[in-house]
Amino acid sequence: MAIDRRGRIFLLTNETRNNVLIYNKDGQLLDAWGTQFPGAHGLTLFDENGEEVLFITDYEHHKVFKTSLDGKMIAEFAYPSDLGAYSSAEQFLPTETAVAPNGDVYIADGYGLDYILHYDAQGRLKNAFGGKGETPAHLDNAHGVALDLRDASRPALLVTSRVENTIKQYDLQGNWLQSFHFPGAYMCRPVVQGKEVYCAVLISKLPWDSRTGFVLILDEHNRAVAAPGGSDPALTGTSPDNPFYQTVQVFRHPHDVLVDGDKNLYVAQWNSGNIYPIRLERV
Amino acid sequence: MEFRKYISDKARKGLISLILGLCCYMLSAQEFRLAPPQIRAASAFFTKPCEVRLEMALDGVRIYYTLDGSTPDRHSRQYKGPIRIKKSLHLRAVAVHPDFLDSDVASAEFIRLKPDPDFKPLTLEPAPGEKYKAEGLSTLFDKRPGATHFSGGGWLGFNQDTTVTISGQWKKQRRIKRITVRGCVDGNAWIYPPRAVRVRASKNNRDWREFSLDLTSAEGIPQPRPFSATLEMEGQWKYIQIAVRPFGPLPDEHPGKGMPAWLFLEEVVVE
Repeated sequence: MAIDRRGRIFLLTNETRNNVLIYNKDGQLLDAWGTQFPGAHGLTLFDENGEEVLFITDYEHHKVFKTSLDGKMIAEFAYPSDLGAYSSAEQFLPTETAVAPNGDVYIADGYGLDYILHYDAQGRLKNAFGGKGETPAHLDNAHGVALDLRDASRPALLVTSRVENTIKQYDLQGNWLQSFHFPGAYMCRPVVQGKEVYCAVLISKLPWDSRTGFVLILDEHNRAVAAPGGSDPALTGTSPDNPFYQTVQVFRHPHDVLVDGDKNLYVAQWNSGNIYPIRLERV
Repeated sequence: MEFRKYISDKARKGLISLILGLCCYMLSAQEFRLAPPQIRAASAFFTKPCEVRLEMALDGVRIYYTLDGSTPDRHSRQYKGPIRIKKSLHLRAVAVHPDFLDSDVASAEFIRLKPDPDFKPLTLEPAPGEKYKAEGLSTLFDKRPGATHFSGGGWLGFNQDTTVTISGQWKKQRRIKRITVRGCVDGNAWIYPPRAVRVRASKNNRDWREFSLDLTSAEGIPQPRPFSATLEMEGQWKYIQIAVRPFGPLPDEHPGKGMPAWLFLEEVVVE
């Protein structure tokens, strides 16, 4: 999900009758478009010098598409053929993007080879990092990526290594800085808003369709401070023997959260009976 | 949900509880159901008395449980602290809260195993699948359950459509009451229960007595769950052969129709 400066909420689905649904904050459907994205997965909105654009990842097309808010195609980012690790487009299954203020695009190949690919705004590959492996800098199911500009002197990227239940912090050159482990939380992507980070947690225990998801909220030090639908972070999530878990069945499989200007939360879900996004109002 | 840097840890904890409480209040405006309580124990198998903890980290939750297999409700024992268990039992627990619907029942089986150092497992055929071979034959006699998910280790998985045979012997004759073969089932993962279990037992490796159990198959694609098959075989025995016949080709309604179903085993329990 994403939100534009007019407060319109964009919901991305992989339903090719209407890939993009646009709502107002009261949940009224305003518009719908998109018939060409069967593998639509990640959605990010970027303000490019006053013009708002969308980045849509599609793991069936093996590409990231840059479009206008009403669906006009602007550019495509293809698989990183320059990088030796990829021998064909079919290995590139992008799940999410993050865009730096200078227009550089970071693409998370979350269902493919688990690299974070760093392109410039024109689509040229600048760097690649992460990927599968045994060290802390490696990733397993690099599902989400987000810019973290909370410390202006140390701009960073937050990447969800979902199978590891960990959010990993890298600098913009791809050097691993530190990891934040949340046992039991299979997080989709970090959403930075103000000083906090909000994560849709798809499940808290395998299998992938266990319906045990919840929402996790981190403070400015990336410590878990609240978990709507999940166990109290003051008591759980401290170790693999004391993991997070779902406490109330509000959500089945949260897949993204959106935070609006008033800090209301909107939770979009996967494989949850075609349920529409749930809005949590800030109190 | 605003957090200021200067809030002390204690005040912060209070603030978090308040927010969680308020979250609860907002959530209770609709009818939501609690998730089942967490059941925490070192292992499902134990050789000496052990403790089981029940948990749900949500303010205002009460947990009720039973140890005799009956369905727990508000009249059952309320959980107040670790439960000490000394014998095999079925624990079932439910979470309740004034603002939410009662949870579904969580259940777990705990099995008391007696150490049996005189027993030596001998053969296993056929070889288990490459990804599901754990520690080989000894996995079935290690007094440790398989992981919660069949991919997590401690399981032997077989997908050849041929009977799995296990043999072993004791140093000298032992009085045996029953044998239980324990495994798991998950129809969507192509794992089906066996069709039959047969045990042949002997005092002298010449004259054998046979015990058998045919398992009825339920309708439809089985949901993920443990299974166990127990054969009563009262007698003094020294040699034993266990034969587990897998389900066979997957049924018509299954996406893998005609392919051999998997058989997953975690332990053979001898009493």
